[in-house]
Amino acid sequence: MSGSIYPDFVIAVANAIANTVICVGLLQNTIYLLQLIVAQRALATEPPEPRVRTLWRRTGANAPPIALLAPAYNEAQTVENSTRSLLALDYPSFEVIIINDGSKDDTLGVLRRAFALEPVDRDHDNAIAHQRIKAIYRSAADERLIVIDKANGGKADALNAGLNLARAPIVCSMDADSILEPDALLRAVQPFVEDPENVVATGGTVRIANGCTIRNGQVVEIGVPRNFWALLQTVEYLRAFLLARLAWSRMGALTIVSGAFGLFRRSVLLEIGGYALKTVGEDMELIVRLHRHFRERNKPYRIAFVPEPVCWTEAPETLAVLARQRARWHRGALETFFKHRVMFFNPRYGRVGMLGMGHVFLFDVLGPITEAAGYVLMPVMWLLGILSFDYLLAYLAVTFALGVAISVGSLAIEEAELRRFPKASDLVTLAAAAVIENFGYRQLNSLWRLRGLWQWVRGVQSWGDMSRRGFRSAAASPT
Amino acid sequence: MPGPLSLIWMTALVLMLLAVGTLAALIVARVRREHEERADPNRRDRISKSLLQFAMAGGEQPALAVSNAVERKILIETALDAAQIMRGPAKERLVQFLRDIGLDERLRRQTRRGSLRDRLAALEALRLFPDARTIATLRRAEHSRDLRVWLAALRTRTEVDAGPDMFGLMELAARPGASKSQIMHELVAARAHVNLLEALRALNSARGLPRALLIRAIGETGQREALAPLQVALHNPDPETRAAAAGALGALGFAAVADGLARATRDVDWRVRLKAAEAIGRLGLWKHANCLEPLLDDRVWWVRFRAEEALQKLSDISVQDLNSVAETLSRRTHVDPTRAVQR
Repeated sequence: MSGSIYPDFVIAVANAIANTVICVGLLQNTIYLLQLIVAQRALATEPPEPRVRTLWRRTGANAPPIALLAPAYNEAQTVENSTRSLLALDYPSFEVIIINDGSKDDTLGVLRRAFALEPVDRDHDNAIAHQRIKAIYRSAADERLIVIDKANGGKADALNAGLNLARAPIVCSMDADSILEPDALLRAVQPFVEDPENVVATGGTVRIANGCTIRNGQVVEIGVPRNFWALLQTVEYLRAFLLARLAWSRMGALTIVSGAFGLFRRSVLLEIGGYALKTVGEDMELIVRLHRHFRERNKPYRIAFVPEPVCWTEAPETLAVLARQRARWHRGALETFFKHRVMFFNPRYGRVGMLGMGHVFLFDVLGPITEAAGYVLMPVMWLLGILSFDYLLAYLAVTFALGVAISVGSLAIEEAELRRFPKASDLVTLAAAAVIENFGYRQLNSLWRLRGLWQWVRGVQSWGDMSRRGFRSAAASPT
Repeated sequence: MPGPLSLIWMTALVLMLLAVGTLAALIVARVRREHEERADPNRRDRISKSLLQFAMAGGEQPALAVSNAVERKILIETALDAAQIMRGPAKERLVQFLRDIGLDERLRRQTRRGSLRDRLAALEALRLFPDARTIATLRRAEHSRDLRVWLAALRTRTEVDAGPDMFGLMELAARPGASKSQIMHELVAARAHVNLLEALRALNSARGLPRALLIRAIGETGQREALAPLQVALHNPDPETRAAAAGALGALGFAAVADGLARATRDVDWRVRLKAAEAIGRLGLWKHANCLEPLLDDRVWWVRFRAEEALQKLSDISVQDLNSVAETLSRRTHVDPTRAVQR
């Protein structure tokens, strides 16, 4: 620090801001590095079982039935293919429940025509409240398919309706426009089979499907997205799932199972009242509530993350949609954090309170503010002569270097342990993206998260328009 | 002494170098692999064909080397597949050729170094060379702390007929994680099939999870001699043992165990109740269906689910049974026996 022309308190405030920004930034990156080490060790010591045949032998006879709950809202473009891919999953016993959440497009019509739906009476629990169910259909072509047509109430409300109607002891929540790999259920259910008394939820990896070749609702060839924004998100997802979730799961402090693919013990979800309606981050809220429920009752439980079952999802390809998505995610994290703030740094909630909620506080509450302060105030302070240029430059260099090292680390884990991307050119593209995303994209993310923070302060509840191209058009792109 | 500024810069530099170095190494390794595949797209076919032709017909040894990792992998895979179906001179010729090119020695070395995948592959492939040196290598590998490594070595040692007896297997099964392994289960089950008497004797000395593993294996033999010891095990103080015994009695398939299983549905441990419910359903003990009813309200969902499943099985069986009995008896006596059953 320098600048004797300013009063002492100005220097002191500038010092405090600079130190906070530096400390938070370094702490965040140190946590990322720790996650990298934990995740690498986890994958190296317990590599995923590569053979489906072995999984069948181990699990087939003990596999509990699963009900797949897929809420669909204005998904006419994708719902037929997604449903077909769900019905084609490799699993001994499952049913697919598509919940048409008051779509304004022809989602229900597409399903009726494609699967010969017939109205049925189906007895079901009314354990959780939700919007009115208009009709329940069963497919004449495949009796494992049930379609609920209900009044619009949002994703959480649709999932609650599905929970009431499901009969299987395990439910799988997912998005109707996502694609599960054929063996995804068989892999994700493993923790339930191995530790049925304690496991209440498991999550799998979500990957970006843009750039992949998709036929009949299944990913037949993996590729990297051609769209720049989707490409950057591919690296981001690798970091989020292969690093963060795997590491938090190993540390017993996982605070989120993606809404795109998660398995839950149905009875437990009914016990805690299903999904919360007044939040846009219902997936994270549910997991934090599960932790809170079991910790407060001193009941043993486990929430696991299994890296290999993969769910493919379509990433936003325009900046506007991406910005809305990220702001919404951030809003959801903040809603969850403040709803369950009693858990924050509360030893009663064990690692979840100390590590998990501490992480949410550091990354989601403090993160965007300090990052923005860092990007805006530090150059300003330098211009005013309060901050040493040498230190500013060194700080930026170490921040970017850490960012690149962490992204590259997640890519290295992917290549060493999973090797999903088939071509060397894919690897080169991803490697370039892993470097580039640190110069601009991460800063944009901070901005979107700030916007999410502002929306949360204003009490905005909308999801915003999330228009997608649909997998069919994604599949048309040459690979 | 470098100042704080230099330290920060050095950290940034080291991190960047590490990242760039890792990236470069990943890309180079991948490009090399792809290049090799492109250079010889039919390599697998070529290697397999020349190896199998030589094994079947003899003649000049094919020009295959073990120095290239990819070729070695293909060679091993082909040899392992071929060895399963080959007998006599063809198999001898194949194994001798692999020895001549030094594959056995390389595999023995590979069991001690390289990636985990390579070590496991080498341990599996060593079954092609069942000699004293291989067995010594396998025994050494069994001292590994990595479960997968020592289990792979144990499996290969068993496959070359140098495996331990059931007492030895029980000692090994007591090592951390072993008794939950599918490989260990298969080894114990295979040994119990071959020598049930030895397995029953080992039951007296085995403890904890290995004993549960052994009990399951004994149940899978389906032999009547196992009935009494398993019924005794159903009263063991260890819940793991009781659960395994209930499951094994279900697998054994004798309806004489019905009363014991009915009692087990009231066990304090949920695992025992679960296995008893499964066994009752599996054996079709419909006279004991009433034992399953309380389990429908069990505090553990898994027990509730299995009880319901068992009841469903029983209802199917009893309806089928009644129908078939009705058909048989009505042919004999011209009366409807279901009425009597209903009373």
